[in-house]
Amino acid sequence: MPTTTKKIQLEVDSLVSLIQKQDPKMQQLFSTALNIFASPGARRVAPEEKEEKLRQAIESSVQPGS
Amino acid sequence: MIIKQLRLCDFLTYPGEQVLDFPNADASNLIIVLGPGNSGKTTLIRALKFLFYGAYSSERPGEAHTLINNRTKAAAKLGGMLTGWVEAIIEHNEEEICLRRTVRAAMVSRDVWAAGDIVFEQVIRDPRGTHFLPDHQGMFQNRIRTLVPESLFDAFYFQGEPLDGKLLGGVRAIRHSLSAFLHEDQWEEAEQAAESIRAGYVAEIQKLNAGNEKYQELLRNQESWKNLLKNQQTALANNQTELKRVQTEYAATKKQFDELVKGTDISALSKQLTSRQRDLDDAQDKRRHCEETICRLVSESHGIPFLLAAMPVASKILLQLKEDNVIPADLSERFVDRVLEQDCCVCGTTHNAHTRANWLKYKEKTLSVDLNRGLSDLLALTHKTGAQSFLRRSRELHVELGRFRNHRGQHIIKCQELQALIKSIENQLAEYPVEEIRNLGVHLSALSDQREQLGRDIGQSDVSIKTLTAKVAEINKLVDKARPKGAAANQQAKLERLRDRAEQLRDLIAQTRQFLHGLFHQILKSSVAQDYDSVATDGSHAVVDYQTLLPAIERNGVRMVNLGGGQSQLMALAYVVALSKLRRELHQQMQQLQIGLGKIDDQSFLLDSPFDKADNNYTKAIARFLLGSARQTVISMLPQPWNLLRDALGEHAVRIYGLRLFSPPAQHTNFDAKDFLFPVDGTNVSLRAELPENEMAYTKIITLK
Repeated sequence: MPTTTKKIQLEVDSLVSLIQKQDPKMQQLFSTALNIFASPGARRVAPEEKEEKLRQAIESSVQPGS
Repeated sequence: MIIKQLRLCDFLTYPGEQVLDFPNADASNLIIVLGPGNSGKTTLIRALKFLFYGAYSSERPGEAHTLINNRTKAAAKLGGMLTGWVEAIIEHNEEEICLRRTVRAAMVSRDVWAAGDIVFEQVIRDPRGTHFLPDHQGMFQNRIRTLVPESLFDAFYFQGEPLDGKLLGGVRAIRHSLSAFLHEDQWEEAEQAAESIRAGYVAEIQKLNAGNEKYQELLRNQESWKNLLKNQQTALANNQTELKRVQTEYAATKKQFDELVKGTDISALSKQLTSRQRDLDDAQDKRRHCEETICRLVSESHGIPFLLAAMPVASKILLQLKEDNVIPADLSERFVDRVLEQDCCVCGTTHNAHTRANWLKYKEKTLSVDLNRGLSDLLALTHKTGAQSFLRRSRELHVELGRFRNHRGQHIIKCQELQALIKSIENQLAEYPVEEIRNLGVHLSALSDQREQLGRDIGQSDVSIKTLTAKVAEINKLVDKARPKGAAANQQAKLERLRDRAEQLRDLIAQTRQFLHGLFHQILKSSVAQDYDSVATDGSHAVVDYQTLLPAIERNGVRMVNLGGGQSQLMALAYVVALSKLRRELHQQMQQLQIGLGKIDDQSFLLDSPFDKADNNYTKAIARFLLGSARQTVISMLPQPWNLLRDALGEHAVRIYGLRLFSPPAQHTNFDAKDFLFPVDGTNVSLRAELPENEMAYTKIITLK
């Protein structure tokens, strides 16, 4: 008997295409933002610290050549 | 997270050190723990909760010593330090970690214990011995909380009934837990942070232009118009999502409705019923019309028909009145008095309270003018004066009244026939689920109204957005024109770029949040429905609320509560399994977007008595569902359901444990000893054993397979 017989398919194609419509820097910023807030351990980081990291990410994403 | 081994020492009902190994064979993922009532099945869940979060009886905080086994405590010496602990080897990130939580307590005097301390450690066993490492900076504690948030513990290590009660009851805490489990709250936090940063840049721009009032005013206007535009866009997006959901629900409900009425002659019968009811209404109207006409004719007849019918008695009375020289003006009053003086009423029946009361009422009101005239005419008739007109009028009246009485009679018969026919159609309809069809019809109608309203709202939002976009473009031009020149211009441009970037990010996160929520709903709904609907024997089906993502059970559009027989347990299981897989899939798929939500291992489920109060159908359905729904499933149960499931589950179980309860005879009443016998290596092992009176009960774990 297989250990897991049922599988859930999470159709993220539309989500991926939504993100890929953005410019590369925006795509990068989006991933960075979510990594700051949703990565393992993010709940233990103070909100101000996370916001500061996001601010820095936003600032570096508008710098030419970054 | 997979549990490889659970070890208990002097913990609650388990004295000494006892071990449950949870092997994960290739061919099976199922472990069964059998035990009589009060043998410690639920204690296994309490033990895990204590190990994971240090949780114990919340009603008695500060009394951690209550977790230590009573027999152990009874044997303790004054001043002696006792410990009880729970340890587990868990598999995470392809490595095994052994964690232990210990409770320590010292006996101050008999039955008085100093508040115990609780320690959480990593355990390392190697050839040199057993070593304990403190949980540095709460690393392992955090890892456990990430893997299984405390608020969701009950979803994975649970007692059948309490969980489904919470899910079906829409308990708020469960909604928050779900939000955390699927990272929705973190998505929201990111969106709010982006907005807060954007607002910060807006404030900086304002500050930079502190001396330029005109420009500041423009900036404020720009901000305010942009906010209005954003609100409209959010409203539009929400309405569009809602419309999509309503359309999907409408289509599903319509399908359900069509299926329910398909192949039946409900539609024809309903039409017949409507038509017959219309005929009945019509016949009743006509009958009423006849009655009204009869009443009118009678009222306009000055009481002639009545008096004609009562002619023999009435004539006699009238002749007496004539002899008394009674003048016509007060004829009716005297007439009534005389009628009442008779033994019989004019209709021939003996007077009673009812006839007397009617005549008195008659005297007071009804007859006053009309009967007086009728009586005058009748008096004239008896005098044979003016009789011609009276007789003609009487004949005409008689014909007319006869015609309407005849019609009335026909309509009464028609009404009776139609009522019988309607009753027969209603009886035929009663054989069909008319109530359900009606409910679905009402639901469809409500959805249709909602769809129309949303369509109108979307149209309005579209118009508003166009207007607001034009307004924002206009004000942007004004802001550009008025933008300060010189040294501050560069700083200004930079801040504006940052503000726009933060705004873009905020909107993108909002869009993805909304998208993911819709996806979660769709997947949970279809997954739970797939597992539940095919098993439900009463035509009910599982649904998932769009807003809360919580499950419910419906039948023909009506939400069902107070479910029994195992339905809700099955639904709860299907839901938590779907949820766990959804989270796992989400984590994997987010990797495509370089978003690391952390590695999620297979989830283990420890179910305490999931078959309690379930009927045979659902007991078997739950058992079938559990096979193959998770990489590891541990089920504890009473011996009785096991007898039913032995064939279905026995061969799949990689290990079967028994919880052998040692208890005094007083606790052995009302049980059948043979229910607790299990064949092990050719001999029968009992899960109940007697202790002498006054001894404390305890449990020993034994391996049955």
